[in-house]
Amino acid sequence: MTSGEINNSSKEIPMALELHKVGKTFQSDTGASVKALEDVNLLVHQGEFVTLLGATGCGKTTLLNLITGLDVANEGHLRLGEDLRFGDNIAHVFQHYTLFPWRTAASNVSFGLQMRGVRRAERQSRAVAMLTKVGLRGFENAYPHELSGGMRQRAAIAQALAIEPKLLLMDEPFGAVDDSTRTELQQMLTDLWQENQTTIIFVTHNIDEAIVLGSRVLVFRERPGKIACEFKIDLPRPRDRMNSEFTKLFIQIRTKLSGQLD
Amino acid sequence: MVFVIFVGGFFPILTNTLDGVAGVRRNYLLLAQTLGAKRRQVFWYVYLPASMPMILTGLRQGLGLCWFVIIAAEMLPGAESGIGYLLIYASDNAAMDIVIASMLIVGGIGALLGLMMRKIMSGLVRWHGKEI
Repeated sequence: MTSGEINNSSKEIPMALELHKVGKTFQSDTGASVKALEDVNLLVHQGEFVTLLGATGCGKTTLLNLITGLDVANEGHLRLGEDLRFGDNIAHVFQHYTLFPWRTAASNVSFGLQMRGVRRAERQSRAVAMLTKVGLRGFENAYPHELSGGMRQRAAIAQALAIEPKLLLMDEPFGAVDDSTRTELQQMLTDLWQENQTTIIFVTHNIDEAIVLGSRVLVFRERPGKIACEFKIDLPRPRDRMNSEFTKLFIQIRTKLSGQLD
Repeated sequence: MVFVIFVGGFFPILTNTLDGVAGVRRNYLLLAQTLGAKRRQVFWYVYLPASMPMILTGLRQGLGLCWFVIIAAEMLPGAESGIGYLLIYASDNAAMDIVIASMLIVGGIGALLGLMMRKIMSGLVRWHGKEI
């Protein structure tokens, strides 16, 4: 089961992203070249929730940067869905520095709207609505340093969703929060995804998180980064971690991942 | 006098502003770009607020330096008024009471200016030093 094959059954759903034999090599300062990605093939349809799973440093972030256009691939091609534009309807949630520290929560959330010339009053009301949606009602005027780690990630998600993205890229957004907060955030994200049907590509190194969130889990191999295999997750949401299907998948993926280490 | 003030204030403001702009985290630029900021908007909404603490630090240092440069300039031959002039004039005439009073006033005003700038700063950039 490789990711390269194009799934004909979902032909009627428009494509959001297609990667064909994408490779990326970095030139280090000493002249040595490091292959970060090799032969990555991927097809994502609109409305899908895809999780990319792999060890830190396996090129997942590089892949996201290629998608957003922050970096350019050396090999292969990358095609975005017709209506997708960077700086317009593609949002990116990072793990760190997700909010501007000089802006309040509400004004962080409305940053994208401000850049689009939306009037102040409307920006404010949309920001408050967005913050309410992520459970931060009453924190409109708080600065990021006054919020906890989990609350900051909530605000960051509100900030990304405020521009009504068609593609949402998330780079280990819950990597720096504790376990129970993480579970809450995962639940919130799932709810938001089911409500908006935004295409989400979510990078994580946490197997549990990949299974809880994704409709598909792509397992990355290291050095060079490559998609090793793919798991389709059909478990009903909200997903129960104690479910035997869940644990079976967990063990399967775990085995796949540890197999790479040998 | 304007020239003296300019020279005194210019460099601390310039170097601090440059440091501030150079120190803007790349992440904030990326974040702004993904949220749709154009070049001009990145300047106004990221570079400017992000380097505001350093710009204000420059202003504070510049202001302090200006104050002492003015006093020093007033002490030079050719000056005919000012507290620096008064200080030199009093010391030439062995009026120690006036010399000490002048020194206290110079120091006091300097400290007050510094304090005032600090207050303005902490009001304007509440977030500074608490970066996340």
